[in-house]
Amino acid sequence: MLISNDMVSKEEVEHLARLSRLALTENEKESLIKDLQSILGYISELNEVLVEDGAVSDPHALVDNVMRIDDNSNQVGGFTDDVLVVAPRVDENKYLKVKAVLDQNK
Amino acid sequence: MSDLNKLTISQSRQLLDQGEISALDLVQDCLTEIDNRKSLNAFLEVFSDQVITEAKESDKRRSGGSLKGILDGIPLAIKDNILIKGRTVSSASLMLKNYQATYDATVISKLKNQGALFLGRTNMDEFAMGGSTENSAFGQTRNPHNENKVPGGSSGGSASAVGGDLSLAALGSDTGGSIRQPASFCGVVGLKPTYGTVSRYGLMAMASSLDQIGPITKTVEDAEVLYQVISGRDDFDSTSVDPKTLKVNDKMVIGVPTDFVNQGLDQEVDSNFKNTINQLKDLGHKIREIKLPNLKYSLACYYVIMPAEVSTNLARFDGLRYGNLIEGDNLLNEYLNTRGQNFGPEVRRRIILGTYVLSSGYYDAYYGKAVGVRKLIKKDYQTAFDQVDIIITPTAPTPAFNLGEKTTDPLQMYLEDIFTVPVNIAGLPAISVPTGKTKDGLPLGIQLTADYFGENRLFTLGKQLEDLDGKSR
Repeated sequence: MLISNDMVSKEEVEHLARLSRLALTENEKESLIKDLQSILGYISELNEVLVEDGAVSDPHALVDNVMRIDDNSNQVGGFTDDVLVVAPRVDENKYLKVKAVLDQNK
Repeated sequence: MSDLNKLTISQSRQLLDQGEISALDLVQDCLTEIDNRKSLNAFLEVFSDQVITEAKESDKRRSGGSLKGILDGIPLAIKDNILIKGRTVSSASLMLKNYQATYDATVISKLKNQGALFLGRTNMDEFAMGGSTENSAFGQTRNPHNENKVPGGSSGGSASAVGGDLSLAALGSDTGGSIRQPASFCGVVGLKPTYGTVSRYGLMAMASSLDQIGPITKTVEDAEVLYQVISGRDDFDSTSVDPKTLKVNDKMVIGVPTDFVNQGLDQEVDSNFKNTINQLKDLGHKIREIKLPNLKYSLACYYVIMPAEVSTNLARFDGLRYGNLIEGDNLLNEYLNTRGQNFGPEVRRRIILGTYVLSSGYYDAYYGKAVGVRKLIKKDYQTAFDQVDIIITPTAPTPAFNLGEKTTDPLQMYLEDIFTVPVNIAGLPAISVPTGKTKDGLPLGIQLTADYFGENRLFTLGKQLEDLDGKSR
């Protein structure tokens, strides 16, 4: 498949913002459409390059796996207090507090 | 002695060893200059009290004959994306404005083991995304040679601190040029080591297949010293490897990719570049024209791979475990608020772009294609390094530009990295060495690139460039 030069729509930007969990203002959406189009236009240079199929279908070909011994290198709870110092909401049992994951009102 | 902040690491070590100066003198002169040049906004935080205490301890060690290592008493500045235990580390982002490091990055442990002292944390583009340090959430940094100009970026605070003699040297990080380009703009040396030779444990990840920590220094010799201290295989970074060396020829074959370099070069940069090549020829090095046909696609390739990795790496900032949580009435809104309000415009732009190129239906066309092009770029370099020892280019196509000049057009800003990006794409080592100035007195830099593990070649030729420039101290 070739990189498309299609216009980026507002719906598309809203969808991407939702996927990446970013709240955007209306003004930002407009400027993002402009920026994305200009950057994607530039990236479309890649269309000129002929690449072997293998390279496209195997994006992990550049990665070597490095193994280590399968043991626990840290003591359980060894960093808990340090880490909780920077946590925004913690309860008395040292658990992170988060809003309901399954919202029953929806 | 006065103005000790102007010394290099090597000069300071010598004077410390001879008992001519103390670590406390060194640190105090740096702190004074930091204060004198507050307008640069090079530092986000200065560790004034602690660094003075540590300097006194270093002086005690010295008089007791029990030095920790080769950097004992040497004050350094650290980019704000490298963790120092117990210190705030924010990547110049509102997201982490109150975040405290719970451990030392491996490079910090290594420096501490050698007795180095830390003056403070330096400003940067938010999460290392930018080429001017104008994307910091805590204000722009200025160029020490002309405060109306940018220092470059993203390690602009570190480069400004070293170029302005606020610190003897600094650490930065380089994903697409973020050490070399600001080094060039600020008239200092910047080394981006071979991918993997310096551990990234404790460096905030931006684009993991490209990121590398490296030194920003006043001389090539100092860059070599710091590289030797911070490099090496680390169990906490599975991509790390031990450094090696390559054979260094007395007279080198230097490759010039004329086709690639001849795009949109500033006139003074161009004449400085040609002049440097002639000088190297006069030293007896052999200059050879080379072709790197796929390098012109590097920046396009980079602007697929980098944002793809950015969008993935920055997914961890959800405000639930750490970071500046902005509450909402449900979980989704907490994510949206926290990420939407704490990330600056450039970071959000790259996350959106990364999400786009990784989307179902676009993944093969963008990411798959870019990975294929990346292979071709590597192959170009391999072919070239069969024939030459070093490849030479300018570090950046222009000298430092005006504050605000490129903030409205992201693409113009990205083009500043045209010569530095290909090196990260291939994972090679490269160094920017100051060579000459514009008629307005702005520094210019030359970039030397070597084959994998060819840092020793870069240091050898880099020192010769310095001598030509009369900058060797």
